[in-house]
Amino acid sequence: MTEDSVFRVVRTQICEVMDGLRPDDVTLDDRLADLGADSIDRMDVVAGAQRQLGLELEPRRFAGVSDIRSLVATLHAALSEQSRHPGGQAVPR
Amino acid sequence: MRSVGIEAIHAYGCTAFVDVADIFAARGLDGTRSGNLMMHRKAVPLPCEDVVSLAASAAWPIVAALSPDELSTIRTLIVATESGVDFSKSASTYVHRLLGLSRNCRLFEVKQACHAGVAALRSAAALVGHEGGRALVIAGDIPTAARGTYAEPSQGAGAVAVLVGEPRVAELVLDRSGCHSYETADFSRPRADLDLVDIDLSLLTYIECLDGAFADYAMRGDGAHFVDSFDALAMHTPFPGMVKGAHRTVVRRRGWLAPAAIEEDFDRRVAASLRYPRMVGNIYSGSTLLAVASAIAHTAPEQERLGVFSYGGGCASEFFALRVQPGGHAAVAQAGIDQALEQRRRLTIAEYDTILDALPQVACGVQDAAPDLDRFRHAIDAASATRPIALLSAIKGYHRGYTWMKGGQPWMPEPVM
Repeated sequence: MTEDSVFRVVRTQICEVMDGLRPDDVTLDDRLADLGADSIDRMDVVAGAQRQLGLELEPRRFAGVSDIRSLVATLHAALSEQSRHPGGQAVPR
Repeated sequence: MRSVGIEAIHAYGCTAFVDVADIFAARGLDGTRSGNLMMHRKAVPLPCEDVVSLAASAAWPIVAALSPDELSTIRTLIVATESGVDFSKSASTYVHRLLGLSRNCRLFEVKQACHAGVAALRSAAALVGHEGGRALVIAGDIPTAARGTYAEPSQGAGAVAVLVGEPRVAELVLDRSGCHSYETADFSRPRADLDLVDIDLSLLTYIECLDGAFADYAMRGDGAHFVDSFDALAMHTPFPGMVKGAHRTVVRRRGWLAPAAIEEDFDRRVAASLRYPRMVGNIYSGSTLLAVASAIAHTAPEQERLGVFSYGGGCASEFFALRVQPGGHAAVAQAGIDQALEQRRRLTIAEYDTILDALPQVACGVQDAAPDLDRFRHAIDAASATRPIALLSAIKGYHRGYTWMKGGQPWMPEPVM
């Protein structure tokens, strides 16, 4: 899956969680908080995107994620690790 | 091992509160965010209250209901807090003196962020199960002020006291619990005046721990289902919206309920646990026990099986079960917790800010202080109208002195021989 595909999944989740937001309103450089998302909204976006992508990442993987670009990069990197180690966990625990 | 449980439980949510809507307005916070917070009032400690006085005030109604003979069977007193008043001497020493407990008593303090109260409860129950008698567990905290942030409206103050002994209110299932813990940097208090919080990491970690602790619980017995095995749930409540979000996320992730049924499940099994937290705020070490008290007081008599999830940043978590006994719901509902919360004085934002400015004057590490009790006469009079409350009267050479107040007057409890 390309980073652009991951971005589209994330964008869909953001629009599901944030009433009134359209896909065109969301860019990679946005921060969820700047789009009006509170901590529960942000949690819902991250959980929903993982659910759509079939991921269950350790929370500390998201430490330092500051904008949508870094969120997409984190999810894309985890998907890449998963494809290199099929059947294994995306993140060693 | 004999059957052990909660013999009595009581909560203290300070003498004063500030309305959460007033904080949003005064600080210029975005009101659209208050929906997910689900907070109503925030308990405010006075500059003559510390974790010792909060703990003693929480425990007083329980201790007062015991005969001298029964009181002498309390052989362990544990205070769970991250707002201790000394790095060596535990807060339980002061609380022990204030409550007039027997000298044949084990005293200590525990710390593991917001998990400390349940860690103390489980430890106390194991002790009582093996050696008999009773134990008193008191969990509470005073946060460091986060003025002007979205954390401010949910930062409460207060304490919850649990008498561990005969399972009159609820039986503790001692031989089964699930844990999920590991080192992470979501929350810490590296100095007495500094809370470090990564809120996004903390929310995700909480959810992972709820998922992991319940999975461990289910594995350690004859199976358990998050929805079917428990009539009600009580969980650590940093703010009520967090509990709602975590419940929704975990139930949906595991496919335990269809999305359309999640809201109804939350209303039926979880909402009762949030009644007190919505009126008090996050009391850290005591947060899960406040949710437990709220759940027992506000669920129906047939809701016997209570699932409890405790989480503390850093992080440690545990899932375990309580079986509420016949009459247990009514005993907690009639303990006077709701009335005491209603008797608190509502503060203006100006009064609240004055109090926040003054709280460091009685914080851990202060050598000498003489709190002016008359300055807060209205709140003290209201809160002590029907029952005594403990207050910090002086700090001299780092040693703390306390006084009981009842009906607005200094009051001396009967000594226990």
